[in-house]
Parts: sequence; structure tokens; C-alpha cells
Amino acid sequence: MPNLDGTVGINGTNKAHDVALIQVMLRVVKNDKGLPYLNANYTGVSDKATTDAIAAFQKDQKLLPVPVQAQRAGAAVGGRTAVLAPPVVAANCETEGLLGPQSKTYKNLVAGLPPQYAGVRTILGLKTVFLEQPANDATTSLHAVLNASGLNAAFGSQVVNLIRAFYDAHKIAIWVDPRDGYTRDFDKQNELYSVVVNGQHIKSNSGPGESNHNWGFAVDIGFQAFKWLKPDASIVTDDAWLQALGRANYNDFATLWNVRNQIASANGLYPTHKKADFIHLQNFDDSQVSAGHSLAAQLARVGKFKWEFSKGSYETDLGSGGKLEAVGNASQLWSKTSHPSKGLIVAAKNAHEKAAWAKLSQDQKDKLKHAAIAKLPAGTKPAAGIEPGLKVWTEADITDAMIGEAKLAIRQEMEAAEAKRDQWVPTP
Amino acid sequence: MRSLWLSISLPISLILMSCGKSAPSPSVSKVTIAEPNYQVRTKLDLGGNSVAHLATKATAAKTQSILVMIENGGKPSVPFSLPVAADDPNFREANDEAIAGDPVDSQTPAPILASGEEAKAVKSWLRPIKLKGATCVLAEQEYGFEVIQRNHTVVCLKDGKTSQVWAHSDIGAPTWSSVDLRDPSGEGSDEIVYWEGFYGADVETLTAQGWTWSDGQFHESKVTTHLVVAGTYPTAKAAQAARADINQKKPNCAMNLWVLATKPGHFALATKTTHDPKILPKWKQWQTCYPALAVSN
Repeated sequence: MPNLDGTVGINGTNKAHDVALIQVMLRVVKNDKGLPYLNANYTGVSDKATTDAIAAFQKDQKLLPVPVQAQRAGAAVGGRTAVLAPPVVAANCETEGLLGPQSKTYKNLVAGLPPQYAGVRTILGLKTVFLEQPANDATTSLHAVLNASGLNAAFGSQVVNLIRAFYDAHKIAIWVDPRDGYTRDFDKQNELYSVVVNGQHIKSNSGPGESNHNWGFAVDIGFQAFKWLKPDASIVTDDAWLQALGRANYNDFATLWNVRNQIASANGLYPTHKKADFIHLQNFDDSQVSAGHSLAAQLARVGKFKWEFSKGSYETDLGSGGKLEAVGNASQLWSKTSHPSKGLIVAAKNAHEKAAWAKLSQDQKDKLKHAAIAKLPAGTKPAAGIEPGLKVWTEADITDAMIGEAKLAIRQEMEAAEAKRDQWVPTP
Repeated sequence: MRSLWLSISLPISLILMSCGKSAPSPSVSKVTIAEPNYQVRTKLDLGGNSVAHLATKATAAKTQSILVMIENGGKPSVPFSLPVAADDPNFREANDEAIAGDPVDSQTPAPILASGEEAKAVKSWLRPIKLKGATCVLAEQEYGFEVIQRNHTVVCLKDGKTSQVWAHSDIGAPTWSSVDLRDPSGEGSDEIVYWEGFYGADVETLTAQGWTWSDGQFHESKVTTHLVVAGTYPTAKAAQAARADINQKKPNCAMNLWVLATKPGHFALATKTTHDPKILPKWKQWQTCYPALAVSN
């Protein structure tokens, strides 16, 4: 059912969305000759063509007072009335060139809509007219959310409430993008990150663990088979991202996303501050959140190593307790293509040896010490500052296999971060 | 990462001077680019005594406007603000982080002005464009984190102002866009080929639109593209799986393939180009990578 808010026509309130709606109706409702009442594009601006079209429709619907001249002519033809009565105003007569939500003109216009346009609607602030969607679509959409795996339960309820509220308000069913719009595992995120065209990450610059989708607190919720009308009232079926509308009328594209965001906000959801990601919603404000710092904090929280994030790269001590070094981006950490240096591996191995040494009994240490001294060439003393028997690694000892083990250990840190995603905390 | 290019990051202290008897319009004479925080970040020589500046300027909203200004004969003009401002005032050079042009015959613009990380990431750069009777430059921006968006704007020097004459942007979505400039007729004006790709749920699209320059403005024109097909498949999913397999097994086969519907029930791993792919240096390598490689119009 169309939704007219104010009056349209001569001396009407003529809000752009109302005018657009009525202009569409006057364009698709035809007169007895099969011609539209308004033979022009809909613009949202009430002009003479619009008010003339309203008046012409009213006239055809016999909703206007019979002109005095016409009554006189009628009297003359009948020839029985000696004294002219005042002009007859039918009970359902309307103001010429004006209609409102309760007017007979509007109701007749709605009744005359062709079936494919029966659901024309608008939203305050929007100049584009669209077609309402069946209530079943919203029901199916919210059931999909309820059945989705990986979403935080409270967050899922907020999304369901949004779908319900948006449909109630505007008769548009919004949907979580079934392909990538729910919770993504690190593998999926890495797949999105790895789509590269001409050297550019065209799907996402977020690596595994760097998207809020990886933690169950985000969805991509947009449109599906949303039908809107071009200026000539022809119907366009748009995609989840409203790309066609965005190209045709960027202001209305942005307005429609803002309308969704307002209802989302009322349901405790937040759009992202990340530029261009209109479809995305989550359950926290990310204006001060760094995806990199959040992942590094998660790695440090649930893993065995120290982690920090700086300038697009993750830094770790590989468990040495010493200096941190950059080992790669999130995709590299996940795909075992990180680049731990030999020095970093040496530091980690030596720290491991020292920790193991510290756990030995004095008796065990003495045995190892004596064995080490015994192996020394005759007349040689143990190197100063090095405990005989304690294995000391140098870069020359590090093999490719050890580098591979370090990359695997880094991957295992990422796996731990993913497995314990309930412990993830948005971090500035 | 190299440090900021200090030689051009100093505030410029130019005030647009009166031009004597052939003075520009009053609005131009009021313009000053000597305001605090106005910094020229990079310059592009446009030839003919003209230079394009990519500059930044702090705004009241604590963002940094990114401006393009064409200077002719040492006279500055009213700058043009690019659509996306930077949130982070720390700018750096990121010359290896963007590629522009045709899908199979791309180029690296330089220098690229970058600012911010993640949500605040914005990159901007200039590319020369030849247009008869006008002094112009193509300014482009790329921004976003989870979703990446790009805009492309041609600005020209006119009546003392750097003014927009053409602009296009991809919508915030899994899209990719790029502008290729070419002058196939050799008449001295570049044609614009605007490429846009979209990653739909199954099938992807890759389209080209053209604009030619005449009478001081751009006119939409027809673009002829070649379809470069690496393989055909009965379903989109099969094509996607094949692409994933190729990316894993042949990571050095540097052709970016799209899953395109060629006709009902037929899906191709393919790309498009306006250039003749067979004369490109990469053609032989691609033939090795993709034994079934074929080109159609």
C-alpha cells in the first residue's frame, strides 16, 4: 500500500517524496484513452504538469464540483427549473489540483494502479520511488539470521530486530549477504584478501583476524531484489549493494543506507567507520578501534608469544621474551608465509634452552656441565659467560626446516586466536 | 618506507596575484593558497609550462582536504577538492600500492600520496591526460579497508580555476574500477576507458565505458573490448574453483581472471582489454600458464 504523508498539488505541503510518489502514480495510471495523466518523468517537484494531471484525474473520476456553466446548460436542457439553484457540490468533491492521504483522489489513484505498481512507496528524504516487498521475504530473511552459525547470540537478536523494524517501517526486506555477510573464518577472510586484480586487493584489505566478521560481531546486511523506479517509472531490480541506484542517484543511495543505519542504531547496532563499507553493521562503535591492534592483542592474550602491531605488520618475540620483530601481515601469518628472521629464531631457541636449563636439578646441570667440559679440546676453557652444557644457538645453526617450524608456530598462534574468538576485544 | 619527500612538503607562500589588465574574475582574485597548513605534496609536469599540484589543507573538521591545483606559467589557480579527505594528517609515499589502467596492461602511478591505516586509509595520485585545447590532469583516489572504493576525476584549468570536467566512482561494494587513457587516433586527445568490475554472488562482471573529448567536453563513446579467455566451465562455481586452483598452483601466472557469464550456461575464467593482448609482452607467458588461452571480440 503506498504511503502518502502530506498533501500534493496546489497549495499542498509538496514534500519531494510525496510529490514523487504521486507523479509516479499519475504516470502509470492511464485515462480512458490509455494515456498517462502525467506524461513526464517524475521529479519530486510539484509543477503545473503535476497539478494539471491531478485535476485531469479528478475530473475523470468526477471528483470535482460541476461547473456553474455546465449546471446552467443542464438546466436549460431540462427546461423545468425556473430559478437556478446554487452550484451542486457533491459530497465527495475535492479541491481541484490537490490531494492528500485521506482524499478520494488519492484513494482512487491507488485503486487504479496497475498490479506491478500496486506497492509503490517512498521514504521521507528520498526522491526515488520503490516497490514494497512481500512480508514473507522479511520472515525468511530473519530466519536465515536465526539459523546462522558463528554469530554472537545477542548480536544475532539485534540483527533480527533490525530486519523486523526495517520491514515494519518501510516494507523493505533487508538480508544478510548469504555469501560473505555472516561470520567468516580466517580461511574465508584470507580468501577475500587474496583476490587481487592488477596488484590491488579488490575485495578486502583486511587479512584473517582483521575483520570484525571474524569475531561474530558483524554482518553485511543489504538488499535483495529491491525494485526501484527510474524517472520514467520503469522498474529496476537492484543488488545487495544498491549499485544501480548508486550510479543513478547517489544521494538517494546514501539516504537509503542512512535510513537503515538509523533503524540499526535504534537496535544497538553500528555502521562501520571504515570508508565505503555501506553494507556492514556491527555491535560496537569502531571509530577508535584498530583491527591490527585488536588482532595483536588477541594473539598476545591467547597465544604463547608476545605480539604487537605497527605499520601494517605484526611483531612478535616468538616466545623469547626479548625484542619483538616484524614477521609479516595477517595473511602471511595465516598462510605460513611470514618471515621470521634467523636472529629472531635464535633468540627464541636460546630462551627456550635457558628455560629448560632452569628447570633442571643441580645434579642434572652438573652432569651436563661435566660432559660439555669433557668434550672440549685439551687445554681449552669454556667460553666466558656461557654455562657449559647449556646449548647456545647461533644463526649458522638455523636451517630452513627450523624457519618452517617458526612459520608453523606463528600460524598456530593465529589458530589459537581464532579458536578463542570469544575473548577478542576491540582495541584502539 | 621512505620518509616524506621533504623537498616539496613545505608550505607554499604564494598568493594569487592580480593579472593586470587581463585580470581574472573577482572570485579568483580573492583566492589565496598561502593559508596555513596548505602543503604541496607532489607535482606533475603537464608540459606547456603547466604543473599540477597535489596538495593538502587542514579543515575545520580536523580532516585534511586533498586538493588538485593546476599552475600555468607560475600562476596558481583555485584548487579543486578531491571527493575524499584524509582523516590522518600524516602523509607518506606509497608508490607500489596502486596500479591503474587497462586490466591486462596496467601501469603504476607515481608518486602516490597515502595517509592513514585501516579505516583511515586514503591514497591519492595524479596522472597526465592530454586533451586538445585544455590543460588537465586525472586525479584518482583509493580508500577503505574491508571494502575498497575508488574515484577518478579529470580536472582542467579554466578561468583561473581548477575545475572538474569528468568524474566517475565505483560504488562501495566488492567492486574494482580503473581508468585507462589512450589516444588510438593519435590526434592529441586521450580517450577515457572506465573499467568497472563487480564480484557478484556467483558471476562477476567486467565492463568498459568510453568517453572521447571534443568541443571542450567529454562525450560518451563506444568501446570495443577483447575477451581473453583462459578456460570455460559449465557453472560459475566450477569456474571459481578453477581460479582458486590456478592461484594456488600457478601463483606467478599474473593474469587476473574474472568469472564472466559468456552466454546462458557458459562461464569463462576471463578478462577483458581494449588493447591487442597478443602483442603484449606477457602474452607468451600467459600462453604457457593457460594452455587453452583464446581471444574473442
